[in-house]
Amino acid sequence: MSDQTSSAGPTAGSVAIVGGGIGGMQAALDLADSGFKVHFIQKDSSLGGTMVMLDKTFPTGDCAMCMISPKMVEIARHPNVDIHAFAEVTGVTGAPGDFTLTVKLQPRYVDADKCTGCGICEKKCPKLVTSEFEQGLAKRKAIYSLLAQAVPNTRVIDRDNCLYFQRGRCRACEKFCTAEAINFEDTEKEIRIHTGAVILSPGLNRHDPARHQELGFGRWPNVVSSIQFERILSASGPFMGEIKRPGDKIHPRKIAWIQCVGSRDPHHGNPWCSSVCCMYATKQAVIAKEHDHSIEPTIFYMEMRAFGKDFDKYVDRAKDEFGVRYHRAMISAVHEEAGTGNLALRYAETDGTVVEETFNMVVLSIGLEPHADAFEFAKLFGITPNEHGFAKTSPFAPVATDRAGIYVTGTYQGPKDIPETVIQGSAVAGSAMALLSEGRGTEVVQKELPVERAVSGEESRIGVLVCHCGINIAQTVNVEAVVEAVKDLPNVAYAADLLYACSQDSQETIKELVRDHNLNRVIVASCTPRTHEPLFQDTIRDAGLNKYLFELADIREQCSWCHMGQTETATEKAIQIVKMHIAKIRNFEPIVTESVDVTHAAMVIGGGVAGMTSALSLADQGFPVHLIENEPVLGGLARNVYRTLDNSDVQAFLTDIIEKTENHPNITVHTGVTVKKTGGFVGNFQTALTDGTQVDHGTIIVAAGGTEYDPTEYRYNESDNIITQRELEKRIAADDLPPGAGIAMIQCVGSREEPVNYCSRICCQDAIKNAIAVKKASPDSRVTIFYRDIRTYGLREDYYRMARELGVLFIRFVPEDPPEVTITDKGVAIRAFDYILNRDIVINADYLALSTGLRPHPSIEKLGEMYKLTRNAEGYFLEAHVKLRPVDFPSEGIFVAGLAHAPKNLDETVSQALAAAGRAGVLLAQDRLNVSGIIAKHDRDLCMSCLACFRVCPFDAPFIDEDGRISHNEIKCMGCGICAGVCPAKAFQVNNFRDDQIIAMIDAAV
Amino acid sequence: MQLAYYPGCSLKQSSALYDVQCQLVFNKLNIRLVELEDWNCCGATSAGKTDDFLAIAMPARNVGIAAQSGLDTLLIPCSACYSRTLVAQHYLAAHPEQKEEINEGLGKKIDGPLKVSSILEVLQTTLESGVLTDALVSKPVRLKPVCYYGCMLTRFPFDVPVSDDIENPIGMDTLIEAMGIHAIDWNYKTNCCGASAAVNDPDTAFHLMSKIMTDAIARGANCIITTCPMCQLNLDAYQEAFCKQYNIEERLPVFFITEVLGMAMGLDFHDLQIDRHFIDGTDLFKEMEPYE
Repeated sequence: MSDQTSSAGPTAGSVAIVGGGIGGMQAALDLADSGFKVHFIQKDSSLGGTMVMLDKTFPTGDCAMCMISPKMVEIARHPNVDIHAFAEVTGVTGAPGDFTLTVKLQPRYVDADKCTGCGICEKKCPKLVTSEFEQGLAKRKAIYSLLAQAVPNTRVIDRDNCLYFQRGRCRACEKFCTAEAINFEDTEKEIRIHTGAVILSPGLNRHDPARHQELGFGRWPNVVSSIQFERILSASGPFMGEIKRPGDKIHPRKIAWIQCVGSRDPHHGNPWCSSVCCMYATKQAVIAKEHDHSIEPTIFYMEMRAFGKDFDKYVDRAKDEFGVRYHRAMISAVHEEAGTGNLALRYAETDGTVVEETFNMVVLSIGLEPHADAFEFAKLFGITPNEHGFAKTSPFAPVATDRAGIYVTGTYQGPKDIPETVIQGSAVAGSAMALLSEGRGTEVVQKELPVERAVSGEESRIGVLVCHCGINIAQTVNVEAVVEAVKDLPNVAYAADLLYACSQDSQETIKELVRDHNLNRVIVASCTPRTHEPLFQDTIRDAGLNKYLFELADIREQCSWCHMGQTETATEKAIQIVKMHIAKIRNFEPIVTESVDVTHAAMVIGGGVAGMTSALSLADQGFPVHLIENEPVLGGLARNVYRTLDNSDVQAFLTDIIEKTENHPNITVHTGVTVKKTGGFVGNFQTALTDGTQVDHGTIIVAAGGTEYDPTEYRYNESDNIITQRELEKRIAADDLPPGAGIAMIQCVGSREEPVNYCSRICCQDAIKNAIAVKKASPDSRVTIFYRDIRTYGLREDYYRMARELGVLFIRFVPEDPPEVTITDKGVAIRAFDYILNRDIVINADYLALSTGLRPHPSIEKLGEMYKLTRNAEGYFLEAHVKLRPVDFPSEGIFVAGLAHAPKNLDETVSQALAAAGRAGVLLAQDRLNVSGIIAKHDRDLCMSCLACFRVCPFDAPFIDEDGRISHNEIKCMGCGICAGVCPAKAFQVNNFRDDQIIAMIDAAV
Repeated sequence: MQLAYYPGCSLKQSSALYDVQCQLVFNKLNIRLVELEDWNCCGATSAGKTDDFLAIAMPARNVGIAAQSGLDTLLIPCSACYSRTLVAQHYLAAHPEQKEEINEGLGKKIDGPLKVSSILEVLQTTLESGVLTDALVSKPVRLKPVCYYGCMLTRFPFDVPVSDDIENPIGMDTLIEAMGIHAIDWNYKTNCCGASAAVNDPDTAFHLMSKIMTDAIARGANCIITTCPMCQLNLDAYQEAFCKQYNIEERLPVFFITEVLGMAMGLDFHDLQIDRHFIDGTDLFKEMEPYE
């Protein structure tokens, strides 16, 4: 047994993360970037988890692999992350700040130190095995990597299927491995890891659809699971993105999605809602339609739970633009038509008529569940699971377990989508940073970079690497032809193709090429610079080149994706694009970048639960925090909330955090004030408050909150018996309801309809929470809820079921025929159409509670203008990236949390607030911040101080200097180039987008 | 080995041949069937439709007799009898007050553990122990069967332990495959044949049976194998009628699992009474190959 230290001790500066999906990866990067050593333990042979299996993601349609792959490579290259893949924790001892983990490493039979990842072993292996990654739809070899972009990329021998291990002969892999990396003698090893905190991110299992034999999975070949369909959609999947039925490889026309397979089904599946299936089915239907326009998708659903930010809009688009048919019905049987392989679905219409409809293919939307060993896993780490096997957490501390120093994140805490998982990844990193604040920086090493080679004056020697992206690019663009067309151009010293330019082994290849061919400029022709440029820049920097001597030519978005099926046109265009970039890069010069000091303090705008949570986390991390609240007291909207859905006491929690906030030595609370004026830039902001206080800070968290809608609908102002859900909650808390009262509730008041066409996310649970409280206090009460879709996603579904069991009545309505309210002598009468009775009904009630939605806080508009933060159509702040940067703003140094971002529940607000604190902590932990090299350079000799730039710059970078002439603050500059566009004297030139460089591109094109 | 045996009304009347076959086949498997003394009707659908108490009390009396027989397993070949009896047993286990009430009126009290088994469950144990395979003599090679379980064998009005998949049972398919005969997968394993509706609502029952028949033919089956006397009788006796009504050309013999097993065990053709079906299937047993 070997010991992996890390200086052990009660204030360790390292964190162990168990589980290598996207949640664990986010936590690893945040921690490693902020001065902590990370021990990353992953059960599979590669990082990636579930996200790497997905094709595209909702609601933006971004490619999942393209988003996650750069992060995987970043982790692999990070000097402060040790990856232990193919490993499992077998023992945990110790206490916060001083844990010892015993970790069992499975033999790979390939020596990672010798392996170059060339893949010849896999090519030569004669044994074909059903691929787990491709969900049984394709074969892999007995020596393999989980996926093409695997991290670590050392292959693994599957002992159970290896001919040598099973029959004693073959060893083809060993014969062909020039690196002598194959080691059949490899054995299981055990190591010990000393660490300060443990983060559990083991991820999820997918429900086995074969448990529902009436749906035919495993029996009828054209019935597939939703994860199989992801692989079918994927360009690198078994059918290379062509949509075919597995049974006979025929293109299906009518495809049916069956929702809630194994979810919301306590009898044969899981009682909870899996949270993501409504949206991923919508996405799959839309993408399928994009791949093949003749496809007619139908989604059979129980309730459309499009509860997230912009989700309803996405579903509307799927209906209106893509013709996706949504049909509310539960499928009772799937029969295969003998001979055709088509599938007949049986279901009952709303009026009870039983229908049989035939489809060419069926996709089962399977849910998420904890791993089969979830209870033992919890026991191993000494934490308490909930009744379903998920980690038990409180709504006020969603990433903490009941064992100090051990945290959870992602789907192990409950079903959730990618952004929620990423948020919790950052949240858990923030929590660990707060726990180990004293150990920060004690166990990390600084990355040693080679000295930059001086290339000025040298003739350009350009390397051009054209990426296949598996078949993503190569199925449309003739990659070899592109290489051929550019390899003999002037200054091109080397040109070749790469299967995946972004994979870890390709980075090594690029470094070798730079050295072997003495390259001084590199072009990669692949995808978008937005996601991949930083990766390649780091690679050439590792090879000793200035990182700005790199250029990315996008031949995926601009060629293979938009000219699908037109190989000739796409190839011609790709050649043209690469030629233009060659012309451009010839004129590149090394760029020297600036770095600035960081003010190690934060400002948090908003003193609600989000703001206070962020402030406390940052303060615990050791940073001074200024908390700004425009009202005279802290607490925000939560001041009117008494209980959570699980009956936790919100007021007690609120009192507690207000007290902690007000008494924390690192927090200065400014109440009754707002931001008057702001200046500075990331790392060095200066803010003036309305009471005259001046605050210097390095980062800003915007947690400005929201408000509740004040309704005009349903005669709200005409009777004292018509109240809001919040008012009802107050009466329940005060025990101010007559016993046996009749309570009616109407959902979606002021939500999901023009002009406020989004779901407020909290109202279904608020109604159910209050309904349960009323029924429990007085079982004779009659509670009726009029709803459109009950959106009790995730484990909240338990309470929906509890309400039904307590006798709460649920009556569905459609927006075209909303309930009609009449005020009567005794209270209120509500008429609605009942779909089960198939007739109008009238419910008499003492009180009618309206579930009113949420709105962004009025101050958000002004804050948005002041900090130049974009908002969506509904007025909520827009994050930098919907999936992977859910709490960042595009403007550096500013983060978002809570209702200012979108409607959300208290536990989600806490998660996001912790995440914002985690992200801000990464920034504040830096001694100095490097400024980007892609900025505008200002030539004062040419400048006539006409102020054109001064007027248009969105970042206030140009300023009027003391001499009355324009100067330029390069630290504020974001490199957008607007100044360069408007400057009549050409005094502004953006690095790597200089006029001479652009003109060279144009010349090359025409 | 001895098993308590409840034949039920069908096996004494319309499907008497099933009783004969059961006795012969289990005898070959060294299992002696001990018929319950003084058993009564399980109540079938009639009791359940008229009186909830009777629906439980009628099969409960038989459970009492079996419990006092000294045998630990009660074999019930008929699916309806099996379902009613199993449901009654589990209902009373969950409702002790009603059990007490019924026991008061019973001579032989419901008491002690008793396993109520379907014919497939018992055959499955003989397959697992190897007894069944050892008893096989010659294989009827012409058979291309679909296994038809009917609607009652795996599906109950409330939760009882079911030894097979409820929606896609495979017990009979496993047995047939163990005999070296390929059991064709199809859609209608557990669909209803119309049951007693064949008498009072033939339109509905014929429609259901025509769908079962159509899928079996489309899958290339040349016979249907079942364990339920009601299903067997309906599909056999009404086949001419519903096929004519739905323009189905082909006819498929409908066998009990026991006659297929019996033939493979080398039992006599006439003893098994295979020639007593409405749709003649005797040709399918003309070609037999010895097992290795």
